[in-house]
Amino acid sequence: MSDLDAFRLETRAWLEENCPESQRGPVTPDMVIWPGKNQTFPSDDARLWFERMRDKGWTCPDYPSEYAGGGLSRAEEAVLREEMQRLNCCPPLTDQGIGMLGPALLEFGTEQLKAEHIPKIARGELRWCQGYSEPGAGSDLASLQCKAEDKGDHFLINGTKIWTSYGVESDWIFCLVRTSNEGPKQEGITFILVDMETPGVKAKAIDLISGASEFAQVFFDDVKVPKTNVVGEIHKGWTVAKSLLKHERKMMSELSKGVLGGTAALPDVAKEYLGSTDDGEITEPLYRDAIAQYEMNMRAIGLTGYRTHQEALARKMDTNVPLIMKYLGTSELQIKDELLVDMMGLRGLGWKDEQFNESEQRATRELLFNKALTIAGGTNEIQLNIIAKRALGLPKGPHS
Amino acid sequence: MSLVLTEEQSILQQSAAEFYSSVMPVTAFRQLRESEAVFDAETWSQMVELGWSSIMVPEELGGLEFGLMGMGILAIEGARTLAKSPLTTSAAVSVAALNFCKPSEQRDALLSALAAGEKMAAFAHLETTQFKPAIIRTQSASAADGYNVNGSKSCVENAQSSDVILMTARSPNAGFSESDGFILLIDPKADGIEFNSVGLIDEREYADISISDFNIAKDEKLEWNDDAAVAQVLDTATVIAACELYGCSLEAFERTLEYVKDREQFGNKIGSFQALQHRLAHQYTQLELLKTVVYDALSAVEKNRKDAALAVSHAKALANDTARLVTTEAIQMHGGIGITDELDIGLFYKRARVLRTMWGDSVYHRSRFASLSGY
Ligand SMILES: Cc1cc2nc3c(=O)[nH]c(=O)nc-3n(C[C@H](O)[C@H](O)[C@H](O)COP(=O)(O)OP(=O)(O)OC[C@H]3O[C@@H](n4cnc5c(N)ncnc54)[C@H](O)[C@@H]3O)c2cc1C
Repeated sequence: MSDLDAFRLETRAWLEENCPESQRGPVTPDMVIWPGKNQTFPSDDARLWFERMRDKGWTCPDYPSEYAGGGLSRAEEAVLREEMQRLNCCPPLTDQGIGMLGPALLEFGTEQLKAEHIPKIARGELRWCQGYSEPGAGSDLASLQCKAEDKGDHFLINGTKIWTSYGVESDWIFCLVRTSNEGPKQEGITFILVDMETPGVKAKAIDLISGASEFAQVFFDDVKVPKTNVVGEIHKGWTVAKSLLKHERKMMSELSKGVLGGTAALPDVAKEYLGSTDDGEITEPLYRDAIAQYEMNMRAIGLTGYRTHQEALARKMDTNVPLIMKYLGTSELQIKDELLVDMMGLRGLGWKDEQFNESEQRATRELLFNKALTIAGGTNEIQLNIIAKRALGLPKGPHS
Repeated sequence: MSLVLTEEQSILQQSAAEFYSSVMPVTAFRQLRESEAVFDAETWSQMVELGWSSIMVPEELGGLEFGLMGMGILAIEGARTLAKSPLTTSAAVSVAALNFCKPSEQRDALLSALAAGEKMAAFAHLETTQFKPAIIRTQSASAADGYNVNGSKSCVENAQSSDVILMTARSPNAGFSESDGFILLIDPKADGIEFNSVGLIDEREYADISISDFNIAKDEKLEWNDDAAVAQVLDTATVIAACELYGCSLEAFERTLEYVKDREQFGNKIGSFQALQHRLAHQYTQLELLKTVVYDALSAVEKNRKDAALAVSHAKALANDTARLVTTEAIQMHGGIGITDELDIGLFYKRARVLRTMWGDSVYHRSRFASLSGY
């Protein structure tokens, strides 16, 4: 037996023993375990599951063990992920620190920053948010204006960030700020970490169409931040941001695979709300056709993910193919949301009353929330720009 | 590793690409349509020499037994130059039909002859112009020394130029279900068989067949292996059509990509216009999905996987829709020159347009996919 097979068996046994029954999916939004200074848990089981995984370093299995990570190789991490999927385990910790900031710190951070922050990310001691977008800088992120003035040993930050997910709940924020106006706009940007308890930082919640308020606008008013909090070089934050964006897009396309998932399957909903024949055929042919179309597209996307995986193993990977996954996955999910609500009729559109059942309420919430998926992490139009340029080598136009 | 080509399959793909582009480019298709000939005998014998006619024939009958994946690769590459040869009708579909029959002296001899390129066969099954594969009215009744056949077949590809037609039929009192019936070996040159040419927009050889009071010997009737055989042959034909659609689409797309990088209007390459860039980028995503799904279906049929029928319907529906998108967009993005006969783009559209209808359109295959998925 290879080492990897042995690792698989060990991992399987450990998970079966240590993952509480209630922490096995389908994972619903109210089961998510967040970190933070004042961490609270959805349930006692959730706390137990988190602590067990944390103590093995498996909240961040691919981080080095010297920083409280699991120290697993890529292959081992893949095994752990597969085994967790097998049991449908709830992720033991969810945060923007884990998938985005951590890898960037490991790549670009000073030894001091790594030692201070990575173990806290892995142990869930701080909750992180991402301060990139501004009212005037979205897709064209490099035009950001939030200003950081050099004051010798510290920067003085003034300006605002917007669409900051979990900005109100977070303890720290990683920001892109403007440290110079000279040269191309990408070159005067610095990547910096800010403690949100610093005087002058204020976060104001923004209500969403889904009724949730997961976003904030964050204001900086003469905020003093030590220069040691800079990640990478001063004025060279764009390099860090670009590397981090890769991780973000990967996260987004995984999100669209239905990690949030657990919504009812379309054929079941069709049969329940529209009816079916004795053979179990959906009676409305146009809905049946639309559902088959959606199911085919999801099957094609899933198989294509599997193909790139196989290609990577055979060292024949077409590196352009991963570029298409976010665009495809997020678009399909929105098609599903709309179909689901169409079939439920008015019962899929409940906002306030109690009379709508769990899956109806869920359909409504996701319909509204998932509109964000084709915007966040680079809009679908931006994804198409990237595909046109990188995969197809089309000439640059005025907007691409 | 069914979604990635093996070393051997990659080599086959490369040599096929080279062969088609050098020996059978689109100009060869243009020459053939000006002439009386359906195929070029010389190029076909080169293909036979390369072993392509024997790819799907079992080893003990002189074949290579390289599998459907190999044939799919050839079909994709051949479609990129609109190559006209008996490969798909004879070496793929007819060989598949014989493979799904019970062994007999006649069957084995015919398979060997097809492998060696000594004969060409056509497969005649459908009887309606709409795709209704379950309808078989052609009957064969017992007669003195064999059987007496009556019936008709619709739009059979390469029927007249073949040496033998594999015709599906059933006994006079059987119901119209796919599950019973058999294959008859019909000599197209014999009396009692009549052809009516059907000239379709892709300019290949098709004919309606009517056959009346036609006598065949006992051993010219072959039994299917089992109840699933007809459906398996149809799935083979369908997935090969999906391969050809993928090949046509990919070629039309790549030619269009080249064109928009070259053509200038308003002082810019038209490929720099975002209205075109986004549409091309979207087409690229669909072509990548199609590649995956076609490979998956080839491998599903080759390995006789439980979900093979579902995989095939998926591949054909996506191939139809992607070909529709990509080949019409290819014309649009070429502007006026795109609708001329002089440019090849329109020829890819016409071939794809026929293939989209052959072996089932998207609505048919989505409905079949839904039934197979239990809804
Ligand atoms: C759920 C969610 C979470 C988010 N979380 C965060 C976060 O934590 N931190 C953070 O910093 N930001 C976050 N964002 C912000 C997100 O990154 C931006 O919304 C996104 O980059 C788009 O910017 P914008 O909203 O300003 O839209 P704009 O850039 O103004 O775009 C408006 C429209 O114009 C189109 N467009 C823009 N440029 C082009 C072009 N060149 N070609 C073609 N079309 C174009 C866009 O595609 C879009 O349709 C989040 C957004 C969402 C929805």
